[in-house]
Amino acid sequence: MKLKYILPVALAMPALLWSCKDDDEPFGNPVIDYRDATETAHFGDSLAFTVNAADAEVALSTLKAQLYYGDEMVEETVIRTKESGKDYSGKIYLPYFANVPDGTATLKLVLQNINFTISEKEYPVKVTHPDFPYLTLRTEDGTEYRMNKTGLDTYAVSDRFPQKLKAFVIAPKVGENGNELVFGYENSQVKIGAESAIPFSSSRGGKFAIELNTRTFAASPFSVLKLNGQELESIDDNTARVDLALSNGQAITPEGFSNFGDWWIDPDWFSRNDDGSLTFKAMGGNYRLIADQKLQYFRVETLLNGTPASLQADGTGALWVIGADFGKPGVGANETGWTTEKAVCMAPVADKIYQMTLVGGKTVKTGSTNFKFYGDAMSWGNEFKHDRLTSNSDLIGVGDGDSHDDGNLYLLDGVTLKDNVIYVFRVDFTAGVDKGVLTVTEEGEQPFEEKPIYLNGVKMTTGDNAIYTIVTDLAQGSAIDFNSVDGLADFYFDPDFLSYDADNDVITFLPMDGTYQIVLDKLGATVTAQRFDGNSPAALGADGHGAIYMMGWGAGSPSLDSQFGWETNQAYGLAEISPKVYRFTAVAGPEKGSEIGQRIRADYISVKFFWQKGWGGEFSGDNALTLAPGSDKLLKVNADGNIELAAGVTLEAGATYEMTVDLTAGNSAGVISMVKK
Amino acid sequence: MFDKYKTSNMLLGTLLCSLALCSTACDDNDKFPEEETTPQPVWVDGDVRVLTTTNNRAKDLTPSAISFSTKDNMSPRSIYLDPSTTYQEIDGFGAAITGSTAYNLMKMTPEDRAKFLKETFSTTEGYGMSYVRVSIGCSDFSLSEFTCCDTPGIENFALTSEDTQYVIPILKEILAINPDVKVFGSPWTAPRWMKVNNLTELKPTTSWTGGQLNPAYYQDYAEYFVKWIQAFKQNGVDIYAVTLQNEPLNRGNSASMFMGWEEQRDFVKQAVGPKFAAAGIKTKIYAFDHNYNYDNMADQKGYPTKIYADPEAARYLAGAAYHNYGGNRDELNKVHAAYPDKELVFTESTAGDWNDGANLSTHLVSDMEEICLGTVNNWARGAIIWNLMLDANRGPNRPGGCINGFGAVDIDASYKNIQRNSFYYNMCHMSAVVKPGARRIATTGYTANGLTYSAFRNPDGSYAFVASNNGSEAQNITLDDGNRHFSATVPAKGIASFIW
Repeated sequence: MKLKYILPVALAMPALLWSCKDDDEPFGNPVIDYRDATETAHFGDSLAFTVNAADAEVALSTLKAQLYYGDEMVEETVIRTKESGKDYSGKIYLPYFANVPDGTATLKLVLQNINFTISEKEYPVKVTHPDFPYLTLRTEDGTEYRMNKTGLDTYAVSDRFPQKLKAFVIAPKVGENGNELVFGYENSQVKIGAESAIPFSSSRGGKFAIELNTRTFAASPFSVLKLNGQELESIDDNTARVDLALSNGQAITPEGFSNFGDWWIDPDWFSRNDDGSLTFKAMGGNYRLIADQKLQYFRVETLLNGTPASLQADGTGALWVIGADFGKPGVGANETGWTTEKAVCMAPVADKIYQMTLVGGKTVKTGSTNFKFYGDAMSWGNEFKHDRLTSNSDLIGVGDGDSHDDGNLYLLDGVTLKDNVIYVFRVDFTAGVDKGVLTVTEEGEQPFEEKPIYLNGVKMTTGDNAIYTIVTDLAQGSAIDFNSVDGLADFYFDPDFLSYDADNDVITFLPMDGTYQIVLDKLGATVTAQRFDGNSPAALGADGHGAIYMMGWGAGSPSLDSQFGWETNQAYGLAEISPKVYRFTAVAGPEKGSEIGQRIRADYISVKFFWQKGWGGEFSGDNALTLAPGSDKLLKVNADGNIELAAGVTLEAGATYEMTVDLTAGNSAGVISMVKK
Repeated sequence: MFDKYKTSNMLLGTLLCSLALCSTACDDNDKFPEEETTPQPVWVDGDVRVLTTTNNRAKDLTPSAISFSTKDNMSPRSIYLDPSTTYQEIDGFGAAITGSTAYNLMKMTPEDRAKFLKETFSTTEGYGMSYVRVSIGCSDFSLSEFTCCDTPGIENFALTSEDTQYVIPILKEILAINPDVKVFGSPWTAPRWMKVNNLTELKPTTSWTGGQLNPAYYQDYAEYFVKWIQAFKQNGVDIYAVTLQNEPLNRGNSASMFMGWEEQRDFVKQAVGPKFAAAGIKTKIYAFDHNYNYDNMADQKGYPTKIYADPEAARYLAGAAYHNYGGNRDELNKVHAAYPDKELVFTESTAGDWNDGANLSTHLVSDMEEICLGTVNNWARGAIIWNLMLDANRGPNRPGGCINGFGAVDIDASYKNIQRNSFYYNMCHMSAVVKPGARRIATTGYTANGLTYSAFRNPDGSYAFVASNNGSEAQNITLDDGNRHFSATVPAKGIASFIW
């Protein structure tokens, strides 16, 4: 500012100020008397205070209560103080932010009279985080789930949730001055008091845990979908998109997609690689890939200048299909219909040639076809009628407007498409966009592809009879996830290795940590396991850990239809359910016609335990097992080491028995017991 | 409980302030500061020393001080410095001493020049700029077109009058003020007798622009670099680093030479690297020295990484240098991810009429985000912008080169009055607190849209923190190094530097 402006203002200011006050008017002396000095509080509390405010000379104006975290004022409350000498009460909120440590805040009281004289007093308040006994997850539809405390400041709930779940987390009032606190979402961060719900998302719907840390506000899950490292932008709860520049033959690597092995891969655009990636099959260009997580497939749209492309006058661009009787990934699940938004973009497979592959009974109905081609992107514009499109197919014709709607494709007389046969529709504009030629060719049958099964994301190997196996390291108590296996509730899980919680769709691994072979028999509907050492069945270690094996008659798995006998390849490895303790849990049943799970005969048992899966070291002679106290009522140990039912004993058919071999006293001092559960 | 009681009277304070203002302002009209007068770069002592600049120059490298807080740090806007997580070492920040810049500086009175250079380069009485770039031979901001060997035969190498009369004297003045300033050299063109029209026809060319280095002269041109470095050293100037070609994909300008990555690979592997080794020259060699987008030449994408793929060439290269006239600085991250052991440095950016470059209100923060914080946060060890000083006619400049650019500062026709532009503020805000040899360190905590920052640990153990705020409201932050903390403000549309 120039001096010529400053000088008059400076000179005038004293005069102006003096002119609005009487020279004799007193300054006054505001006096603060803080009555209820509260020295401790929690974040999120409303701190109550009472102050006696007085000024003997000048009328009071306001009392301000200011809360400082460090040097920063984070909250202020103002009370009008009309009468001197009176008690004034109020509350000031202690804001609760992420990552703010416990510490000493400052409550500053500022009392001011009408002559602007102020007095200030500061009081320390020790502020700590509240210890919530639990939290409540409240979804947008009002459903509530209790989040239990899982550690210091951490809370979680595991349940069946949709893939995307918008919810608030409510913390209950803690302490006399506490408030119910609502964790919401603002600017991509969890925040107390935010008006938007937290957009939790998992890689897939189903059972998963939602967690929140009340100190850091870290929450999960927030899954991110990526293709070639580029994050997909969410369109709605089920779909997300990304625009990519792709070249023919380019690999596309997905990240974050659940059950990607189950996704339908559109053969016009992609082929699937063994490593889980895709290879782009169409011509190079710019494309929009829309991931539909509900239908589990990618919808692909050719782009021009960042928007869905239309057919250009020279035949380049894109060609779209709208109509009935077809749809991707399946005509049943997603028939295209006469909805422009669902128009299917054909893949440009060569210059001015567009392709759509359909499979009879799957992506196209076999008894009828009634769809047509449009040049304008997802609209009714630039419709192809018979004057601009001819068919040289002996299967499909282009309607001429008489017996068939003009331009609509129809099955020629006597033609029925065949189930599971691949039909490739190509429209060729190389002769001009007014001279389109449709060809439809049969390209064999769609090969039967056994759906891969993944255990915790690792692909299981499969041979004949839909039996899937994997050797992997597993931890006691850990969850096991099989994707793409329907009806797990009807499966039999070896009860000493695996437990299945049908309500929560959770499989838990039971034995000690180690390497195990897991076998999933899809046709037999069983899941079994045995301890492995590398790629071979484990043996009993000198330290008592590993596996022991059972052979003999009167026992089998998963039912007595598969008795072990004395065939070494049938030897059954017992689970080490706690250190050096091995168990075989079985329901007693008949030798013939037993049900799954009935693994011991009610009327006869004669088995022996071995140190390996085969002959060799065994629990006999000096190493013979001894009976635990009380087990002699059910079992006896023969001189040859065989274990049999005690004389005259018949087990209760249908009852569950636990046979346990305890080697904690040493491999040569094993104790066997059996109890009825 | 502590009880801090104080009584104040706003009326009395206002009166006293008014009287004080009056008594100061009334003294002498001639002593009122002229608007053009620049503030003295004097730190204000305190626990934390601060420099602040706003896009309206209400704060113009304004020094202030902050005391460490004595209270518990409970600020929700805390930024925590983590010196246990370190990133790249910092070489420095500065501007190019082009022929034009040196010429303009020489046109100033010795007193004015000394004052400007001191406030720019002094680490104790100025902003401590620590990195400068010079051309090897001419650049597009030279007084004419030339190289140091325009007569065929490498034995004819000699420094030019622009070097001896302008650039080197200025460098020596700078080094006298701050001996730790690093000097970076880049050629715009090889001597024309070493150039051919292309590598297929190999026809001689007399053009200052375009052409390519004749492979037959790889050894001579490598010797040219050796002689240039030795000549500068004989004149008291150590050359810290060179690139082998400024903007190797640019065939235009007033002087230039195309050098694709395969040529540069072969040149460094077969000639420059071995020559430097044989001569005992420790000067760093950086590859590339051009735009993030490789001028959209498909076969040149990832230029330096293609050279790094050849271990024989890579062993001579310290890293790569980049300009920002095309592409995105994220390229720095990609190159670092591919070759984390190779260094990165940002060596050129210019403001001009094309981007309203003298408009501080729009450029101060955006340039800070792009040039300084943006490159440093993407692994650059330093940043150098183009001309330190241009004149009122945007020059001296050359036909075919840039004619409408601005310097970091511009000086008027009297060679008296200086206009600071955004790049000057940017570099000063970095160099004033981030010392050569500093390490960028990790931060956690508060972030906000428009708030960009970076933290450093200096070799003497002090901490540096530089922040820009592109928002329309000031950002109050608390900086916490684990032992001490303090609250500070980064003004709206402003930048602030802290050292403690």
